[in-house]
Amino acid sequence: MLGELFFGPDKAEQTVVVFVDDRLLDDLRQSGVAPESPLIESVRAQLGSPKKLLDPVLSRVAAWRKGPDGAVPPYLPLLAVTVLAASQMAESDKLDGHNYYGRLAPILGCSPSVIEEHFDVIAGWWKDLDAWLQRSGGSRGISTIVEHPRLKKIGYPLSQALVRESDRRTLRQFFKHAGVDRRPVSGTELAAALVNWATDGRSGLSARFRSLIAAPGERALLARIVEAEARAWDGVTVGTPTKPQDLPARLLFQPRRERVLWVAELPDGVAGEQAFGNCRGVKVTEASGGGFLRVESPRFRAQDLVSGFMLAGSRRSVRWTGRRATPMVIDPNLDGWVSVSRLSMDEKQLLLVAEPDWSGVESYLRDSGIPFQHVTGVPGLQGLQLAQLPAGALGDRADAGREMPDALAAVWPESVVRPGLRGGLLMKPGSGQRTYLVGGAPDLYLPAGLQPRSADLSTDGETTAHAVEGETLSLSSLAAAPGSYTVSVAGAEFRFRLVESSGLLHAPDAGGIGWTGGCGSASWQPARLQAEALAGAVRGAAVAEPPPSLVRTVRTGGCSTLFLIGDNPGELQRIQVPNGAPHGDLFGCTRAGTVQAALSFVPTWIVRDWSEPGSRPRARATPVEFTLPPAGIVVTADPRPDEIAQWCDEIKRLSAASTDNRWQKLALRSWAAR
Amino acid sequence: MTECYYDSWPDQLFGWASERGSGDLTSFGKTYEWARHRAKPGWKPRDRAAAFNGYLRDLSVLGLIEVDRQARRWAVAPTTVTSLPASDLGIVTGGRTPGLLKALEGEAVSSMVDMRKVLQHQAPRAILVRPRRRDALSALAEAIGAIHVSCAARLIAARLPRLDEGEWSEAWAPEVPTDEIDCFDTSLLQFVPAAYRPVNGLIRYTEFGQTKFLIGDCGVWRAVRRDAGIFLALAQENRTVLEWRRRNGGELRVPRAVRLPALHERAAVLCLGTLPAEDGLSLVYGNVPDDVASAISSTLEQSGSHPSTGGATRAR
Repeated sequence: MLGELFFGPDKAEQTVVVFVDDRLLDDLRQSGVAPESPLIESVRAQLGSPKKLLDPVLSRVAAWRKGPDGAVPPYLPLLAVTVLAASQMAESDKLDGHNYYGRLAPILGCSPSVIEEHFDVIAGWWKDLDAWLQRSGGSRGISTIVEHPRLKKIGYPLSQALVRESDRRTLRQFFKHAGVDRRPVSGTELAAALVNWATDGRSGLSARFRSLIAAPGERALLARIVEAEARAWDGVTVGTPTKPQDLPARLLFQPRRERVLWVAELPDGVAGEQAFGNCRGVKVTEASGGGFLRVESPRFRAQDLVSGFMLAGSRRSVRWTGRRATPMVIDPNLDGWVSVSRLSMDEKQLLLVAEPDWSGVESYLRDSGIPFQHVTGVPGLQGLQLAQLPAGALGDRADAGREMPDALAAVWPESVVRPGLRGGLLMKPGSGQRTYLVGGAPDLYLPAGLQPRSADLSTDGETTAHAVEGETLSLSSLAAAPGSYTVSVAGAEFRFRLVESSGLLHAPDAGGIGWTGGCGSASWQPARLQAEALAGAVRGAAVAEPPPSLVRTVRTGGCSTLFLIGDNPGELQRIQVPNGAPHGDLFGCTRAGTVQAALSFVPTWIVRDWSEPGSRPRARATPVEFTLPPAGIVVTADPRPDEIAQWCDEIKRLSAASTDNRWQKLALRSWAAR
Repeated sequence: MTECYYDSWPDQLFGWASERGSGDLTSFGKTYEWARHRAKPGWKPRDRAAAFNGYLRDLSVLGLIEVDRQARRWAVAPTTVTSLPASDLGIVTGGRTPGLLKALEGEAVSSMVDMRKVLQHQAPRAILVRPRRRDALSALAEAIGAIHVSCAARLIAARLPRLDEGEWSEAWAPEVPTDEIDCFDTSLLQFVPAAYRPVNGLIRYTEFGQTKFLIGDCGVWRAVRRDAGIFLALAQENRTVLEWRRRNGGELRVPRAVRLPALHERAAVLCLGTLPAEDGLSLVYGNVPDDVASAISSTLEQSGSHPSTGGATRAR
């Protein structure tokens, strides 16, 4: 069976790899090609006692050598399981990532030392298999078995293990990057994107897998492998869970509200207060607008700004590294000035300076000709001095004739004093070096005063020298073709890559913002969409219908007859709901076109949020009762804007009479979703 | 050999945006400036922010990107194939990565549609397609992994918000001196310094370096966006500035000083797939059928410009 799989007639003149992993075994089992768990058991059955472990196989090999040359070697199943062990190599709780024998031992049912003792023979069989393939003249495929320069014995199975467990973990990160969890992506597209993503040795992929990626002739095989891996991915697991990161604190100054407070940046997808957990004496809330956690207590003190602090919550810590000067820029989302790590070259900014450092900073700013305004008497910022710098103030700097004060140097823009790459059409960060779109190579920035005023640009082993006139050298005309480039300038070295595309037809995060609509609120603005809103939003020219039934109404008590009036003349459906039945759908009309429901009675309705997956009411959603007006209310599955407006008016009127506004929000959300 | 799909900075910049998928406005703005400088060394606009916002606005009304200004984020719109109203033509909008452009130029696509790229001033080219068979547009969408929408202009027009829903937020009392306030003059269609403390109409002032717009109704003020605020102010005085003519499949004329709100403008732009033409002091949106024009004018309370009346007089 394995002989047909690896060296069958269809493999003639093709490179063949004896690649076996758990996924292949599962596939074979499910497709019925192999009987239930045959390989490992049959190999174990062929083995002898620990001292004569391989003797039974050796005698079969001796018999095979006397037979016809075309027969498949009897050691092939044993070699296949050695590859299976190699495919399982990765860091785990019990075994080191490089421990090969420790992984093969449980498969063969004996100790690692016994296997190591006999592995010389197995390595010899790998060489023998290579020779057998070469003797076949390509009719059974072209061998890819190579001797490892260092790992003389286990190098053979490693050379055949295309995908290791460690590769799978890295591939999951790539699948997330490529948006496989959001849309189906073909193997060909994935393979093209992977070639761009895994740019160098820092990708975390094994050398064997990287060599597969680097071989253009193996692209079809790569496509098959990544497609199978993507299919097997649950769309959620990405690598090994890591310890939650600290939340960097930022200072927020809101002059209009005359307050100064600490906020902490929340990572994407992390809920507000839960991100921090509990800590005695510390109170946090989610800041308006989301994305930030607000530290309610302890309150802001100027000395904390200078000395730094850490608030250790049960889940994450909020940390501020002390500094004697703190730049702040305007953040409209937070309605005030927010601290940043370094001064900005082009934005209007505030600089908060500790009292003892103020005289040095002030005189340096003045001597350098940097325009600023000394702001005094700001409530909430006692103990600190404030300088307001207009946009682009740092660009007009003259030589102050002396060294910059330490407080200022710590927050001075790095790029102003060091050479670096600026601008360019930078692609989404992949696994390795900075990558730009072809035609969008960055500019090289070389600050005035640094010597020499020339840069070396290297690619494909060729180096050319270029003079830097002024402070900037445009690299886009010098680096035009796809490939890797290195720029050496003033003792610094920068590497980047140019690519024609990422390989994906559509960016994974496209379509994340849209207009969901609504009534009586400011929701008719494009905003970040939740997954369930994607089906009912305007995104560019993509106008999607809302899901047929986001929120359902639940009726209780009374008589129960509904008339559903269809689009076609005379189409009338009468629905009798038994007395006491817990619910009947009204707004959940799922028919295409307009379906009207006319009520012939005055029931009491309960609104519950059924928009959760599985359409089950949330346990904590408290139902709120209200009474609809008498018969004649018309509900449509595809309401016109004026009908929605009419309903909103009705809902508002009803809510005004109710002291409980929870159902109002719920109802409005249901209409917004429509 | 390297294939280059971009021969102008707007196309190249949008190609890059399509590859990125989404991001924050600050870094997009920096990349925009870099691309402009690279295309024309020494480029220095009078107002950098206005130039970038104009580019974003053009991308948005063409259905190429969406911008969440409050969160300062942008995201490329999903690639969409849709047909133009009252026409057998279609357009391809939304993200266009180099890979997608390559697929569009492939043999499989050329057997379904004839494609034409229309050059636009400081905006990415419009991609128009003429189907070769009846179901070609949906087949094209399937071939390139795009969304197929029957007629985006009509679908958006049917969902346009009215001025009184969602274009303003909570009540707000402007705490700025009168001499820092500008009022919108509905006759001149421009802002002029306030001569006295207003109680009605649209005003603007600057706070934290940002221009704020408020619409007043008998002393009650609400924050609005500029474009919606102008139409609210016009509605207060029953002034009509939109003009629709039946010729050339329908022509909607809008004074340049009064741009349509973003979603309204997108409905108008997607009727032809290209940005409006400039004609003197007006912007002219072509191929706008009467039902789309009617939806735009009624939701902006420009009832005097209803197509059935054959157009109306613009404010002086």
